[in-house]
Amino acid sequence: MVRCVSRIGSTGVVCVLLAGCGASGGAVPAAPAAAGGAAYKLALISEITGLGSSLGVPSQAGAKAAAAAINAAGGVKGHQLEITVYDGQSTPTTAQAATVQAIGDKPDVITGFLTSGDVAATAASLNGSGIPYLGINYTTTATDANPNWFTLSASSYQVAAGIVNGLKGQFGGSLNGKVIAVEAVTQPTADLSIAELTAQLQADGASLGPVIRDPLTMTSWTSQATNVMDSHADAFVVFQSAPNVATVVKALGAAGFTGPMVSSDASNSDSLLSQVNLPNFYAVREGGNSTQGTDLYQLGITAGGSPSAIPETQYAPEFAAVYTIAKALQGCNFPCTAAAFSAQVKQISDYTPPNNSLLGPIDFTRGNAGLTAAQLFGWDPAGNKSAPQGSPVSLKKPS
Amino acid sequence: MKRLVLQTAAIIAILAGVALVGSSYVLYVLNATLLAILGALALNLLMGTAGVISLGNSAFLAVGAFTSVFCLRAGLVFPLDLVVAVAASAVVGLVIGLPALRLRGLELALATIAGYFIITYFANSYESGAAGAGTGFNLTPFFAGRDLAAAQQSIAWMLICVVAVALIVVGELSSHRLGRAWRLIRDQEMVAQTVGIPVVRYKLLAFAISSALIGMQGSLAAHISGSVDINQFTLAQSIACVAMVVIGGLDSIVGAVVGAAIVTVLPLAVPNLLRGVLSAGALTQDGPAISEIAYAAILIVCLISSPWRVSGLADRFFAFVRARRTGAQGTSQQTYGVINTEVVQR
Repeated sequence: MVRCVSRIGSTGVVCVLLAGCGASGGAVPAAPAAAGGAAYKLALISEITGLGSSLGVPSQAGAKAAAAAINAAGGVKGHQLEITVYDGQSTPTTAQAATVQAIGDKPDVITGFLTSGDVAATAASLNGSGIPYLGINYTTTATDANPNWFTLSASSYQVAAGIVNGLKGQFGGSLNGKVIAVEAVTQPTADLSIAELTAQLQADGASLGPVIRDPLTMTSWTSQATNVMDSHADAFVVFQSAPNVATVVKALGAAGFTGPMVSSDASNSDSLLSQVNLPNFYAVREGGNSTQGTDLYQLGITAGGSPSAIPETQYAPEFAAVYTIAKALQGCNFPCTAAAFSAQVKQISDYTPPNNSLLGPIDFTRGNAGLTAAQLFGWDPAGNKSAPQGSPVSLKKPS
Repeated sequence: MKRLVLQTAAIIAILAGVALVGSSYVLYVLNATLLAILGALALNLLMGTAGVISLGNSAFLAVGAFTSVFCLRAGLVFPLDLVVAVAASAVVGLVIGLPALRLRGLELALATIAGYFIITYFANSYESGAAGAGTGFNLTPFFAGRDLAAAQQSIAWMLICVVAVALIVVGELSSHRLGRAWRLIRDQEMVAQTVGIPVVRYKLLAFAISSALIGMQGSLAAHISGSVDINQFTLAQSIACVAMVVIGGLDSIVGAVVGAAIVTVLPLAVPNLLRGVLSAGALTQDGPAISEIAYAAILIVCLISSPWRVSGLADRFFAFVRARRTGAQGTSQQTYGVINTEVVQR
């Protein structure tokens, strides 16, 4: 009997832990509410820890910087923005927990960055809540079904458009007759991007060369590089994680490939460009420059962001996302209902967020992915910084 | 049997208590814990009772989830898809379990990891090839349309019933003839063969039952979250499942329950517990990193504090109290004697 009681006791310990989860467990208020006035409540659900933290922490810094700047300028119609941070922890279970917790706290809008697997895992909860989302998550079939879901991350069409239009600039305006080789991770999310890329290349008279698929775990790409060389491809496109992009592109460079090599916007950081450091390697970006010395960087530092996180490429788009939220709230009564907020967002057709945080204006009249421009960036070893190539290119889908 | 019913009743009473008073967030955490308990019970049966190491458990979660998706797309409705998912997981478990006939220890662990890669390859291919599933499959979640707290509470009651049945079934299996045979195979395989226990059949049976239970977890998780994506089934998830069993204590049903709860709840509870220690600024800036370190430290403490893990720790404490109360001489020796007997009995 005593043994049984002891086991019940140990189970009780678990309940203490459950109690530790509490009604607001794990959530961290990141900006104070306005003194004397109700604030707009923003929930930032991002991968602050775990494998996705290299992308989630910059998004947190971007949101905090934008909210601090907006609040310093008087807020939105006199109401401050109050951001509460929920850590997705880069796993589906914890991301779902963070989302359920955020929904339970009834924010006006949800924003932030989750990895694609976590976006899929949390979509049903978010869709069922009716709370609008405007952030930088990837689009999925589940999120596309949500009328209150908007993103400043590129859709599959926009990912392909950034690459194709960027390559056009490298080849003097046309890809007619060119052969483009592709390497992509063996995940279904890459399938959509490859399908869009194929369609857009064919529309421009180009053709798809060898398509090589590799798992996320890779150590060498030497033999595959030989295959690409044998195909006599004119350009090379890679959809991979940043470490794998470095492995793939370095192997292809070592094999003597001289055509343009382009990484999708999934891996486009300064650290990747500097690590590869090849004159014919470029990455697609939609967010503005937030390196040291820029206004964007200074705003991030002032808001308490980490100097290493602010230059990363998720910082500027999330900064723009919070400004876009503020713009939509500006046209809405206080408090703003989900339907009214979404109606306001859908009317945004040519909004340019401040501090050059995006490379082009935002347009949500065509769909739930509002980016309109991207640009190829390469590495400038002399200046020890990333350098834009040519001009920004359009991501707009023809009507 | 009486003890098993008492244990199960106590666990269910505690879980039901949480389900009655919890907020939507606590209910979500409870539901995640209940799902994890199913997996931990299955793995405890396989690793703890039968002594067969498996590190590819998230593959069986994928089998359960993807089989449900396949069935629903083919027109089957719940709970028929769940039944098929459980059966399919058991069959796949049998196939993956075949190397267990020849391999042991680390070699077997590596074989189960290879099984994980094979299963996830097929699941990946299915997701890639299915129309409109480029970013995962969407299901209608259980109790869709209800508000969040009500839906989570309904899910909690449903899962509590499932866990109660699982506790009794696994408890019954592991405490009678089959359980004794598994333990003998685990501890003395040659002796087991000598006394006429069909070792191959019993090992495969352990694999099949364990896989079926994990497949059920995967199918239910898919119905609860409303989405299935190959990115959700990672090796890290498999390791977490092993951690539940190791922390709770091998071959202990209550240990599996406690281990599942610790591994599921700790990463979510630690940031909240830190709020009383850190300032708001430090919490925003360093809270997540400190939470990770604290979580890891607590796990290590759980692992090294007792050779019998969490369930054994409680046993030792109460045995110590009992020994003090009876005023016995040589308390510590006697206490350890009690524990050792219990371990052998397991």
